[in-house]
Amino acid sequence: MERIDVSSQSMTDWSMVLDSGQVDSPTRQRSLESLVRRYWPSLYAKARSGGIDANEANDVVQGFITDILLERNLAAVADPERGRFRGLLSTAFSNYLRDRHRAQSSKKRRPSQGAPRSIERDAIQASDHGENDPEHAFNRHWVATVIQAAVTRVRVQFRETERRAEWRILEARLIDPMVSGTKATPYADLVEELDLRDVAQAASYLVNGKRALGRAILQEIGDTVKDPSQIEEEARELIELLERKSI
Amino acid sequence: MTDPLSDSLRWAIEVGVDPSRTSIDWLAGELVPGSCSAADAILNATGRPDEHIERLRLLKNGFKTLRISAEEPAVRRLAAQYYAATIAAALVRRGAWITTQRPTRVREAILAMIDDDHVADSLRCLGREAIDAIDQNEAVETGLEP
Repeated sequence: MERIDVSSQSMTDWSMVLDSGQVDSPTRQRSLESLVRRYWPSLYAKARSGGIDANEANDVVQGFITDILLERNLAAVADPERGRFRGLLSTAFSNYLRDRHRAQSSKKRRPSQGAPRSIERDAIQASDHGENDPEHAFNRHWVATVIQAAVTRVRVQFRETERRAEWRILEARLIDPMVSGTKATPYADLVEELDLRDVAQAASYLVNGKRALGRAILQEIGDTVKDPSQIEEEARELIELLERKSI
Repeated sequence: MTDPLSDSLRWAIEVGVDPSRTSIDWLAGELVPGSCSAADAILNATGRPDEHIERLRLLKNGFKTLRISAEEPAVRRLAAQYYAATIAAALVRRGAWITTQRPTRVREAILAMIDDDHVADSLRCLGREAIDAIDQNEAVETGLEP
């Protein structure tokens, strides 16, 4: 299970994507930075899953951002009517990786005879057959990014409203196990730590926290769709993408 | 093994679809692991009678807290109905009175639960039996019935 790095992160929405595409917008730079921060983990995961090593993957993502997002202004062709931005970005990155692979293969063929073997090419071919699927990696990291942002949103909200006990229980019973795979802290321990009345009270607090997190996840997804009526559809589509097995 | 990412999305959808019922069922699932709904947790009378009563007390206390601490009025209202349902279940299924509240007050709470169509039908039926039990007991105590 991948770790979800729970850190403060600015999220985006369609208005930010569209703002990024407008070269004369005074806020374009900030929007672009937010876009990059948001999608970097998914792009990086896709590159790594395609067989590119860690150092090179950083360079590849950086190159994609410079060449496609900035110079070719990918965001300018984004259109909420034509689908999700994550889909557009993922497809553009696939094309970028393919072009890059072709260019590298061509260079390698020149000095020697025959087609040299390439770990990256093998990985790309493997991914075409559904093994170690880069698209799957992209989607998983995208969902992790959405959930991470929702967690941050709830943490801030609970701090501001001094719901310390509810946050602690949510973190110990739900977020930590989800993020790092650790076992949930027993209710009895939390009752003692937080000086609560009983387990029933602790469980009620968890439910309040879980509801808040569920709402925050829906809000985060809501930022990525054109209309609030599409939130549930997008959440179901993400579940389907996560559960889609390699063909 | 369940996937925490798709699980999170699933329960986020549940929050969007039926917020109050979801909270009630989640709480029951936390307090009575393995129960598929709050009604299931309340009505499941497996185990020794004292274990069942203890489960109902636990659920009652959970719904009581949720009745006060939940953010949304709809969740607070439904928690109050399920709080009454646990008392009704203890009375009907085990002949136990698990609250310090007076019967007249509990009767009102159970009647409100019966009238709420957000509550599972099985619990509303149980509520009617509880009302009969309270009324019979009251009649005996006041000497109106043999």
